[in-house]
Amino acid sequence: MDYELMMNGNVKIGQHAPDFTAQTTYGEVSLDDYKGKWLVLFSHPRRFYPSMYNRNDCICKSKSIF
Amino acid sequence: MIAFAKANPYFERLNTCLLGLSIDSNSSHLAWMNDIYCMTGIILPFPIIADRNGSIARKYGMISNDVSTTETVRNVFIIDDKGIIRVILVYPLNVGRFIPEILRIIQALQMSDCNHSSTPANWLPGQPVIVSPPTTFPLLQERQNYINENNNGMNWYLSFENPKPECLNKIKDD
Repeated sequence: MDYELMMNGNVKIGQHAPDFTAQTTYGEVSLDDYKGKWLVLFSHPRRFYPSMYNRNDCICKSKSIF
Repeated sequence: MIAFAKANPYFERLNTCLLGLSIDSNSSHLAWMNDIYCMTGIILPFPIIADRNGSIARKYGMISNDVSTTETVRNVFIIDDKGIIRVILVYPLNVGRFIPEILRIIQALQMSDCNHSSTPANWLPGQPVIVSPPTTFPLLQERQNYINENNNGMNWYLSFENPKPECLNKIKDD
């Protein structure tokens, strides 16, 4: 299954999310840790892309829409 | 990242956790977290995976070879409480995400699951949902009569209703 996913280069909606265990900024995390919860898994390019340091976000002066 | 961090309480209300990933090292993520903290006072409240060899990124198809063979593009995978991938969003390297839409998608999915209905274009919580179409002819006639009486749809296959209050309460913003 995992090999197939790697060869296809993508996963599709409706499929089981592929398992993983990984080192994170809050220690080791596995997909299993999120059973019973919804999860937003998002990837990010390496650092220093312009949108990352959105100055408005940093200053926190403007009222966010939340 | 900061945008996700600021929206974290709204995700939590939807029983949803955030998990970031990049192919940078863990120490680089820690330094970055610290930079964000120093500059903004915000502590990223969710973990960021250091996927150094790109194995998770490749498994999930987060690397688009035509864009870059080494960089992850901006992907969002919305995975439900049973571990099923429900939505995949893909952004290019140079466009940031719109967090309210990610929240809205989770609200729409949770609404659909709870109310057994679907949501129309531009749907927002609090608005009517699309009733599942009838599956038998008697049900079709019943639905058609219901629409005629209540004027709440176009046809038997497209009618609207207010979702059950318990479903709305689950996903409601304040």
